Amino acid sequence: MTAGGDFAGQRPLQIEMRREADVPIVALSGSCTMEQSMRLGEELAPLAGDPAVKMLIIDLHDLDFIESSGLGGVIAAYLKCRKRGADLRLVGPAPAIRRVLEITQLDKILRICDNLETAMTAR
Amino acid sequence: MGRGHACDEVSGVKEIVVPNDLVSAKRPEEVILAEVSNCGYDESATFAIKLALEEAMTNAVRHGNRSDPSKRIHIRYIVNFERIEILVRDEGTGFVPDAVPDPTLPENIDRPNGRGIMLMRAYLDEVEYCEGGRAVRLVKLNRSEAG
Repeated sequence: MTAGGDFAGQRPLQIEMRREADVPIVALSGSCTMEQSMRLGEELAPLAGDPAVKMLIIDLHDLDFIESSGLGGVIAAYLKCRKRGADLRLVGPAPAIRRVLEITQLDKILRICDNLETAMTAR
Repeated sequence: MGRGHACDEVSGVKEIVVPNDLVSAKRPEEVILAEVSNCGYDESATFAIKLALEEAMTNAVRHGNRSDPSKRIHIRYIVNFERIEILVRDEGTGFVPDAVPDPTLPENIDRPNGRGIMLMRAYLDEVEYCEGGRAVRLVKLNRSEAG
C-alpha cells in the first residue's frame, strides 16, 4: 500500500523516534485516526517541551491519513516549540496529507519541507 | 435521507448504533468503507468519506455526547454507485454550527482544535446540520461514475 492508499484496510499508526545530529525526528506511518490521535499528542509533547530540543522534525512521508485531532497534537507541539523559540518542521507529506494541511491552512504556520536534508539544514 | 429532505426518516437505509466511545465509533466507518470499496469509489472519495466520518464521529462522541458512556451514536447510511449519504446523530443537546469559529482566521489559526467541520465541508459535496445540531448529514457523489 502506498501513502494515501488503502484506507479501508488501514495500517495502524506507528510512531518511531530517532535522532540525527542531535535533532529528534519523529517518524509517523500508517493512519492517525480518531482513537489514536491522543497518543500522537502525548508522544510529541515531551519533545516539544524539552529545553534541550532546538528543532523537532516530524517525518510524514509514510503517513497515510490524519484527522483534525491528530493535527491538533501537531499544532500543540508547534505552540510549545514556538513558545520557547524552538523550531518544528514537517517532512515529506504525501499529496493527500499535504492537501489536508493546505485546506486547514496549517501550511501557513507550519514549515513543510520536501525531504529530511532540507528540514535539517534550512534556515 | 434523500436530497432536499435532510434528516427525513426513510425506510430502506441501513442503521448502526454504537456506544459512545472512539473505539466503538470505528465500527460504522469500517462497515461503510467496505461498501464504498465494493461500489468502486476512487481513492480520493474513499479518503474523503473516511475523513468526514472520523470528524463526525469524534464530534458526536466528544462534543455532542460529551464523552458520556451511557449515550449512543446513531448512524444511518446509503451507499450506491451514485452517492454515499450518511446521517450521524448523537444524543446530546445540539449546537449552532455557525457559532463555531473559523479556524483559518488569524486569531484562530494556531488553535489545536476546531478544524473538523471545515474538513468535512472541504471534502464532501454536502454537509448539513439538522435537529438543532444533534445530527449531521454527509453526502459524497461518485464523480468517476458521473464522468
